[in-house]
Amino acid sequence: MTNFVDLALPGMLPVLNEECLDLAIKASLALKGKINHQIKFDRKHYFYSDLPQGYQITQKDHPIMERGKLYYFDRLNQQKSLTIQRIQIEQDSAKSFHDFDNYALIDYNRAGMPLLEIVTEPEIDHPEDGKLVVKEIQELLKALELSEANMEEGQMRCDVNISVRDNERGIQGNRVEVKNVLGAKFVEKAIEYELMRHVEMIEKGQNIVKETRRYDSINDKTISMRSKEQDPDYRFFQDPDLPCIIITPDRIRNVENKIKKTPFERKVEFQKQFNLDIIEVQNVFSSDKLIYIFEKLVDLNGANRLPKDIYNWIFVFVNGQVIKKDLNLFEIIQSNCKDGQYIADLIDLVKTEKLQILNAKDILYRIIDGDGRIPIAIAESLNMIKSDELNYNKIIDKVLEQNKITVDKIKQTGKDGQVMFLVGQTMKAINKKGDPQKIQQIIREKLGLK
Amino acid sequence: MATNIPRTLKSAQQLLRQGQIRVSDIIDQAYSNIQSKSHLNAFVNVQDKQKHAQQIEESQKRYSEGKQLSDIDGLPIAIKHTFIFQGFTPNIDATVIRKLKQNGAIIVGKTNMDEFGMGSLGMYGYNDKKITRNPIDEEYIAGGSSSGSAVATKSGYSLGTDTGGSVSYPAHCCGLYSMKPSYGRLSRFGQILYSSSNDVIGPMTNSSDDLESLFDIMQGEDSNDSNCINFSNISKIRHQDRLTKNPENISLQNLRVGIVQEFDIAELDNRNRTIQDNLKSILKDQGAQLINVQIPLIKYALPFYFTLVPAEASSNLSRYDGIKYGYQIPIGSQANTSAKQDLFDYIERVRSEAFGINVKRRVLLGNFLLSSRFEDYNEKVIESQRVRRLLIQQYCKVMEENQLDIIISPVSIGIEPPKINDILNDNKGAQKNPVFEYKMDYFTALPNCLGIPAITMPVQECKTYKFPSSFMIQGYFGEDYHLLKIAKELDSLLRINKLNVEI
Repeated sequence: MTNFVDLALPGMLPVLNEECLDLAIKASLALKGKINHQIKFDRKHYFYSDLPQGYQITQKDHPIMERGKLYYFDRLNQQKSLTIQRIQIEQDSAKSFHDFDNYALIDYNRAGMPLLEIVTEPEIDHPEDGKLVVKEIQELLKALELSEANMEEGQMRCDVNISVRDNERGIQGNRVEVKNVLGAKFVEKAIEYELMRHVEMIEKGQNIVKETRRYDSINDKTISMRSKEQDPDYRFFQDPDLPCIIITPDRIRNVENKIKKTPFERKVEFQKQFNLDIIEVQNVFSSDKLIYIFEKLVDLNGANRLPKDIYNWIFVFVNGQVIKKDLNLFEIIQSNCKDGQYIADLIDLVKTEKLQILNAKDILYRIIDGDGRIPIAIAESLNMIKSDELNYNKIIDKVLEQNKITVDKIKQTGKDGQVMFLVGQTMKAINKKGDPQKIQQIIREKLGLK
Repeated sequence: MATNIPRTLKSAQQLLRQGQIRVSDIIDQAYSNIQSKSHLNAFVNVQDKQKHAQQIEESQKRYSEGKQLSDIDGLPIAIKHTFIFQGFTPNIDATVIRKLKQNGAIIVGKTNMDEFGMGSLGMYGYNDKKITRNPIDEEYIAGGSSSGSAVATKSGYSLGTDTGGSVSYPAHCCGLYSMKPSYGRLSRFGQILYSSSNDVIGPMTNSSDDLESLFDIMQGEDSNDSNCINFSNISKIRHQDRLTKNPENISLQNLRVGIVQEFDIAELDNRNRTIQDNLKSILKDQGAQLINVQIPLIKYALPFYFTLVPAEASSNLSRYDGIKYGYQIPIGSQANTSAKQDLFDYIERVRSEAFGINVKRRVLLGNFLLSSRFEDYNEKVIESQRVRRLLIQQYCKVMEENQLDIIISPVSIGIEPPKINDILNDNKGAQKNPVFEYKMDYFTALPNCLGIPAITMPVQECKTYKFPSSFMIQGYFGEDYHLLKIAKELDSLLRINKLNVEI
């Protein structure tokens, strides 16, 4: 909701939102930067309909934080760090709608909202890394409860700066800024597009214009907005209505006490603890709820399950069906699988050899399709539970007798290609309740194979 | 209607308490004064008298029960026209106005001023509003920028609440008391900003007692103004006990008064010099200690003032673009191909048409000073802030080392205000040369530059000369109450020992 100050009515004065300052300190701590002891605010002037004051309050000379580090996993899943040049507190502008013939609409609700601008050093050298950095920042901001960081809704926006250097010919191309890219994927695409454009121009011997562009996501290309020479003269100067602020160590400590581990730190820890691949960790970390379910299933009811198993069950078996049937992974786990309890049951049944993996999957699919009974009940009703008294020998002997030709062939040649066929026949005979590995072992012994 | 309505709040209040006059008498008198003195152009907007009926009744009731809210309960107050845009009417009260209302004041109207407070003549009202005329002699200006408030106060029916260092000069021209408080003691919330780091609000009255009453009501920290703070939290303050209102009286004996060598400039009118000398000898007779001091950096106060002030003004005024409120022109006549260029043309036209000459001059100067096109980005502005810091340091050091209570100074170089026709006919080159006007601020700009409190006091009953002239006492940052006490003491002394100027 907009107020008199944000509308820049005459006589209104800006007041710094103390909570916003604490959030900025939080972000600064999470990005491991140096928090400035004294911060000040500056005015950046330009006339535009979406800027009610005629200037934006920002931080030019003494921002909240300088020289931070963002840790992330790059496209090769290597741990990497990116230098954060600075974080500054700013005011947002109003939102303009230009899709009309003779007029534009201005939504002042966004005017004056606090913004954090995070400026990185030019250290990203691949479009995909650009995307991964944006995603890492997004996750970080969410984890810090700083912002929903939804890029589609403009809660997080990204200005991408690109320049290309030709080392062989020693050519440093000019920097181009692509404004307001609204999505991590679009960041990657915008960089890709610009990269190709720059390389092509340098190869043709053309000069790259210092300019501001925007990304058109529908046609996947960037479009020139204005050259840097056309940038307004911002006439920066310190805002005399906002005093300098001293950030006390106490204040920093207070925020520090409330701060949790960053997503990156948690991932590294998670990877070590559960011995998973980083891609697997990234998948688990796609939602806080999944992390919670995962950690819960590892030692639910005191059982010691293999994290790898849990991962496969959730992200291969369940998620496979979820994708196929266009469902919601977390909802299925929460409601159909009773907070993952049924998945744990199935894992345990397979592990104690009471159930075959194929049957377990079959039961899982039934549960996903809405069978509300507990896994053991479904297994029993389908007669899937392996019986210990089952006399494999008797049945196997019968199967071998019925397939004498195959048996003889194997005995003559010593080639075991047809063994699996015999295993299949046996399984069929015992109604798929047996353990195929054990059956194979017995058949091999009987046929004198290793 | 009672015929003798006193001109000071204190005596009016006394009569009200004794039941000798009624609140309605005072308000009636105020309105009839506005009517009879309308040719002085003090007001731009007068409140409907009927609207006050209930307030008057309630206030009267409080007096009859002996439960009046404050020193200003039921008394008329005129406010400088701080919200001046055509097509824009504020719907909230500025903090100081709210405080005045809460204390029972009856706001009678808004007074004339130079547009955005820019000017010392009271001749640059918005949209060629009429020139404010001096109540002592209508041929002369009333001083600016708070011209209307000065006239309103002088006419005996009200007092002015006022902006900027521009309370002192109108007080000087019209023979009034005015106070420019320490920066940050009064909230600027709701005041149209001209130069954020210099703007203060100050009362204009007919007595030093009234200055204190109004200051006491209006001062105090405000969460809506980040620069308006609780002074007792400032560690660098010299005497904590001087920050608050305490009932102890002060004696002029052993008062330490600074005489600044840099104030005795060649251009100073000899009559003004005589006033200063007489004041010194009266103080000396009372046992005050006069100490000669030097503050060499004072010569940079004016260059500082006219660097930083236009810079801040150009920034503060950038919100007036004709898009959200205020002056607007028909759109759609532009022939540009781009919508953005249309917008820029629109803003340019609005600002060219709406702003007066003085405002345009300062906005252009300010933009020039802040621009990165002409030199390193805002180099001159940063330099001027550095000068201010050094000047403050030097001033504080002089006051601390000599343990000065006050420093006395003239208010204006000359004694008489300029004649309106002289300026209109450009007899003294005022129209062509704005520097003429800028120079008038030589003494009054200094307290703004330093952020210190300053009180302007008229010379009592100057028999031989039409305009009363005045002098100024400046105090240490934050010691507003201390300064007020000295002013009151000095005031009662001067009522007996007149500062006669023989001409």
